[in-house]
Amino acid sequence: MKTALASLLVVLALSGCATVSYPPPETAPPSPQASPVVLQLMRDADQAYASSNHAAAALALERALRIEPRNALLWHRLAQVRVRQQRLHQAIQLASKSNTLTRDARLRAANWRLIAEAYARSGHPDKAETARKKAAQAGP
Amino acid sequence: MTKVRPRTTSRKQKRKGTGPRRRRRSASSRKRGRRQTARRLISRVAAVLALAMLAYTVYLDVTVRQRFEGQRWPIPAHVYTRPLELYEGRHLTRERLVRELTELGYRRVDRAEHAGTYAVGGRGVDVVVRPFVFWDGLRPATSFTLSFRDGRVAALSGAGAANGIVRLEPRLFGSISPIHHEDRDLVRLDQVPPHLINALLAVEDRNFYDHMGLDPRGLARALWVNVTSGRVVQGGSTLTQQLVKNFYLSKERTFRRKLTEMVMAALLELHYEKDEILEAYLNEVYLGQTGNRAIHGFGLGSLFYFGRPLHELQLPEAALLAGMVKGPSHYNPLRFPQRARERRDLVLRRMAELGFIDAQAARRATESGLGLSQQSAPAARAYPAYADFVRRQLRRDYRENDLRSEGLRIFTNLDPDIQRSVERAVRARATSIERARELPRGTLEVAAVVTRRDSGEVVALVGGREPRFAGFNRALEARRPVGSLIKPAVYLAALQRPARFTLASLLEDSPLRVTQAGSPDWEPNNYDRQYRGRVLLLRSLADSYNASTARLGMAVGVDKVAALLRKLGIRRKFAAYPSLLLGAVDLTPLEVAQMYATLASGGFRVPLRSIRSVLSRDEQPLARYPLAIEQVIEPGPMALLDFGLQEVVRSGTARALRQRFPDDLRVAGKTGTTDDFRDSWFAGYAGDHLAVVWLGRDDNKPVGLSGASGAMSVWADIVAQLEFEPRDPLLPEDVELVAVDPASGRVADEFCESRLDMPFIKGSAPTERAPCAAPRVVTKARGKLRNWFKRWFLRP
Repeated sequence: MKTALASLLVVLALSGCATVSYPPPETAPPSPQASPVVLQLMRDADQAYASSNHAAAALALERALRIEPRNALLWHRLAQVRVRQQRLHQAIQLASKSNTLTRDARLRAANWRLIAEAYARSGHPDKAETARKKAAQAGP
Repeated sequence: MTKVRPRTTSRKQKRKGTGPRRRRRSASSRKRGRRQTARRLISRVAAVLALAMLAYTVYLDVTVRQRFEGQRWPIPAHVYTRPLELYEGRHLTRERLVRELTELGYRRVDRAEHAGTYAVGGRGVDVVVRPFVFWDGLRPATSFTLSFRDGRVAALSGAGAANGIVRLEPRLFGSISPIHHEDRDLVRLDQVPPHLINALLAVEDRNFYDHMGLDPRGLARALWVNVTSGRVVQGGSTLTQQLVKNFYLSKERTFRRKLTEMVMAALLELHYEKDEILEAYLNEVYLGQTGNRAIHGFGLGSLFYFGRPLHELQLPEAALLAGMVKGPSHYNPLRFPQRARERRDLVLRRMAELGFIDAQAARRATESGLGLSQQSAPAARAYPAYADFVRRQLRRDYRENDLRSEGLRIFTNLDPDIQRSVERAVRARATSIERARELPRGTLEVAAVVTRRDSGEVVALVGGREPRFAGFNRALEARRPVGSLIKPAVYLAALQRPARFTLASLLEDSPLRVTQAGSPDWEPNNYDRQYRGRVLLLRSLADSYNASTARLGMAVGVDKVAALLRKLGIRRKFAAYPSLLLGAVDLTPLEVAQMYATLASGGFRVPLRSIRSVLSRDEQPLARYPLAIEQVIEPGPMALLDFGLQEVVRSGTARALRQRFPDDLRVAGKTGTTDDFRDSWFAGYAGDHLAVVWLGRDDNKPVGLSGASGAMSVWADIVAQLEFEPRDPLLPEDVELVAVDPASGRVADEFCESRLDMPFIKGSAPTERAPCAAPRVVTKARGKLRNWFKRWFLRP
């Protein structure tokens, strides 16, 4: 029940990101070095995400990743899209990648929350719990 | 029915007939009877023939309709390069942009107004891009302006750049094994410039819109012209007949075939509109040959000869193509420019005679050059090794027949700029090394793979030193022992056990003999036959010592190293003998690239991908090959190994690279050399790219090259051409830096003469102080470390 509630909350949070134009509350602000073109592609991705066009959102993010392959926020966003697409394993991998590229506490916490959510949805409550703890340790 | 009546009459006459009259009449009646029998026979034969002809005509009719209404041609899958992305700040010079535009067949004009043109002015380059259906939708024709500063795009403006990013369309560079070797790119009639149609009608069939498939007037005129000139100048076939001949019939020249052709032409005209027939003709027509690939249809013909879509052709180009129909080999403008030019001019004159164009336009057109694409012919065969890689990846997901017939559009990751620089490097280095080492000319072979580190996208691939030659693709097929390239797996397996091994562990580097049941003893030697006693693990990796590496691998366990290799992405089955620890496993350069891709992307396995997306013939997305990653190595040990691979370049076997690359690029790599110098390898990464290079001989004879003296120089030439964006290294949370005395592997301080700041998994760093260190200075050393850390890892 708890898990279901948590899932629901995360889903709401995630869908919340969709309605807010930028930046979504779930994620940290963009890293300062993100170039204008990458910010624009992120906005495109947000728009597609908001209208549930997940394939287009992923394409825009992959396009941005070709420009800034080490932008942790882009990897996080792609992970969000994969959660929506029910590609939970990839979501976990992408969020983990994001974590290896950032020191930003908010983004790390967001990544861990996303990982927790993906584990919870894919039937791994223990791993979800561990990830939630890491999220709490990581920051706000 | 009427034909039967005489027979009845004669029977009545037979019954009624009387003596003399009968006799008198018998001779004539016999004659008449014979005539009648003959007539009957003839009429029966005629009836049968008529029936047969009717049946045959019906059969032809069905044939005509069936093929015309079904899918008319198998269209092979067409393969495209990556599109060039344009945005402010990206590395790009004006020259490179212009080259890309030229390759795409854009015309340089004074004022860019039409799609497919560009203008170079004082403030930058104006471009009007063509409409193009990408995997994420249609990009309409649009215009923008680019300016440049210091090798980058300084500004991007204009209607097409409202989003701050715009891409040029990708370039078609190959097709997948066309059926019957026929390749074509279909066009609709409305995409065909009127000039082309007029030119075609002028020389091939001026009465096309008036006749019923056959043109007696045209035939008579052709006959007359041919007789009076004493040679075959004109053919009498209509476009419809030509279409029937090419589309339905064999190439034999018999009367029967000619008759069939005429009947079918008439039937085709009966069923279909002129425009439908014309459109089919435009797509069917044969226009030349390149290798074993036949160029069919004006759509592909235009791309092949002019590098431009058909609708952009100007009058002289349209006349040239239309003129080629008569004899594509004879009038091949690439081989016989003068002949093709004369033919074109004749077409233009004929067009003027018939009033399609005025005399002035014809004259102007005859004065222009042929306008052939500079690289049309080579481009058609370009990058065969990469195309081969694409084909192999496609075969996993598509049936061969679909690839050859369904007209799929395959968008790949091939970056022609990088591909070309790799080809140049490979060719130049292979030649210069051969000369310097006095190797027999043409024996040294090369393979190279370049990928993007974080996504696994393969951007360039070379399968031999003659990259235009489609043959043995060494990058994918040459399985060679990898030698020391395997060592990172041994060290990583050790570093994953921080309680036992760190970069500062001391290893025993002395002669070693491993006895194995059932096989001869294994005695690995060091490359220089020297043994260093106790060496730092980091040094053993950087200098690629064999004996100490073998000991380390044995301590960790050969099976553990083998399992790790599989995790890193080696799928091939191999035996886990101790000799595996020093690279006694045969891998292709692509497999090596897959293994190193995992290391280069921070421990995430990324499948190496050539394909981005596949669209169907009607431009619907069929398949995407999305970014997919899999974390297989924890960040901590990965960071330690990364440090070790950078040490290879800082002070180890690849230190010669320091002269070519700045230290802050943090080049990481590994050399590989096999027994008797048969194979020379280098695998390494810098900036956003990973590259793997192999050098050796196909007959496996020694080439006398180590990894550092051979493959590494090619690697450096390749990587020097790449663009670099700064990459801030980031130490994982569980890793700390500690200064170590390299001699003892213990904590050093400022009193130690040589000191190395090394990463350790927290809690695994040595605690004992080095003999050179003074006990009280440890805190100071930490302060200095912090500064070092700030300098290297936290700068903006």
